[in-house]
Amino acid sequence: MNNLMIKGYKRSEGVYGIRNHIIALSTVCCANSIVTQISRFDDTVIPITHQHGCDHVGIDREQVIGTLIGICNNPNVGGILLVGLGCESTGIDDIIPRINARSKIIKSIIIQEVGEKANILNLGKKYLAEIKKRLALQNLEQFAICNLVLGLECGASDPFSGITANPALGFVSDKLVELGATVILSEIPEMIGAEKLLENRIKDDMTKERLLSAINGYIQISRKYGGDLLGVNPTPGNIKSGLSTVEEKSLGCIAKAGTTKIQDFIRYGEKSKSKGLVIMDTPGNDPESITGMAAGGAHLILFTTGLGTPLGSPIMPVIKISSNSNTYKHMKDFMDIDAGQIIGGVKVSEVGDKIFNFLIDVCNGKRTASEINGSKEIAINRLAPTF
Amino acid sequence: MDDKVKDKENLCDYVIILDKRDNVGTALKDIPVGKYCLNDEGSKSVIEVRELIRAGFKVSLAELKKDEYIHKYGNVIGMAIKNINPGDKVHIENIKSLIQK
Repeated sequence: MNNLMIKGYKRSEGVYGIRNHIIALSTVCCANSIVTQISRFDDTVIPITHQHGCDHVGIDREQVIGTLIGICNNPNVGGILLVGLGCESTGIDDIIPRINARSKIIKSIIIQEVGEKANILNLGKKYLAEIKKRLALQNLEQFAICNLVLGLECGASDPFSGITANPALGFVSDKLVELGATVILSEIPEMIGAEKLLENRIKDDMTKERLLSAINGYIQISRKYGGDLLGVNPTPGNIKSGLSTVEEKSLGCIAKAGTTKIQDFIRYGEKSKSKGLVIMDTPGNDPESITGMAAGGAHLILFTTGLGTPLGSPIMPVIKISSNSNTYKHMKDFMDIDAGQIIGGVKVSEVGDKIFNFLIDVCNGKRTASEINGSKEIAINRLAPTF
Repeated sequence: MDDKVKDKENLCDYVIILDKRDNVGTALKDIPVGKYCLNDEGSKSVIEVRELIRAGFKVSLAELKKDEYIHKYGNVIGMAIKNINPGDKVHIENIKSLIQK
C-alpha cells in the first residue's frame, strides 16, 4: 500500500501534476477582460481572473503576488499565459522569476507594450497554440502517493457534517498521512472553540503559539469590526440547519483532520516543507481558503458539505462529499460521494474507503462533479485594504 | 399538535449522543412531540419533547441552568442563556457561544 502509484506529469524531483492545465492568468484586475477574450480561442485554456494586482501595501502585496505565483507553480499547471497591464504592482517581471520555469511552459503579454487590441488577441492566440503543442509532448508517469498534497475543506456545513462527512474525511486524512502524503487543514476561524484539541496534537511550542495567535486574531477581528460571530460563523445557513455556535461548528470541522500529529503551521498560500498533517492560515471563506491551498501546491481538495455547493477550483479537482443523503439527492449534479449513509448505519471507515478509492481514481484522471460542471472559482485572501 | 405519548420509545432511536459527557443529543431524524425514555448508563429517565425537533437540531438531555455549559462532542459548545428543560430544543434562542458578548 505504501508504494501505491498514481499517474502524473513530472514537474521536478518528487513533484507531479495530476492534471496538465493551461491557464491564462491576469496579473491585475485591469487585464481581466483581455484574459477572458484570449481564452475563448481554446476551450481547454482556463482563464483565471481576479479583483487584485495593484495598490497593495507591504505584506498584502506579498500575499497577493505570492498567491498568483503559487497558482502558476501548482503541479497541476503545465502551461501559463500571463497577461499584465504594465503598470501594476504585481507585475510580470516580478512573477516570472519566481515560477519554477524548468517544469512549466510560460508566455506573457503586457497590454501597454503591445497596444492594439487585435495584436494582443492574436499574440495570445499564437502563444496558447505554442504552449498546447509543447504540452502535448509530455507523457504521464507513475509517481508514489507520498508526493501527493491534499487540501481539506468544509463549506455550507450542517449538523451532520461533524457526524458523518467530516469523520469520514478524518479517516481518509489519517490513511493519507500514514501513506506519507501531505494533508492541509485550513479555515482558522473554524477552529475557535477547538483550540485545546488541536494544541494537544502539536509538539513544537512555536507552532502551537502561531496557531493560537491566528485563531485569537479572528476573535479580535470579529470584535473590532462589530458585534459577534453569530450570523457570520455560524452562517445564516448553518444556523437554519441547526448549528448554534462557532464552537459547535469548529468541533465538527476539525474532525476532517483525523487524529495524527500536526507537523507545521504555514502561511496562506505557502508550500509545506513537512509531510503529514499541516495547518494553513486561511479564512473560513471557502473560495479564499481553497485558493490558498492551490497556491500552496495542493493537487486536489476533499470538500464536505451539508447544504451543498457547486464551488470548485480552476486548477484542482474538488471532491464533494455530502453529509446527508437529502442534499446528495437534491444536488446530485454537484456531489461526488454521499456520507449521509453513515446516518443509516454504514460505517465511517466504509465511507472513508469509498472516498479514498474515488480520490485515487480522480488522481488518475476521473473527473469530479466540480470539473464536469466547470466550477472554477478563485478568491485571494487580503491582509490590508487597497491603497 | 401531536400529543401522542411515546412511552415505549427510546430517545436514543432518534438522537446521537456523541460523548458520554454531553448534555445534548443531535436528532438524526425529526423527533415528534411526546414522552420518551432515555437509558443512560443503566439509569432510566423519561424525557418529554414539547415541540417537534427537526433532524440536525439538538435536544437537551438534562435540566440545564442559565449560564451552564452545553457539551457536545465531549466539549463545550456554548452556555445556556436561560433555564432549559430536558427535551427542549437547544439552539440560538437558549444558548450562545462563549466568545459572544
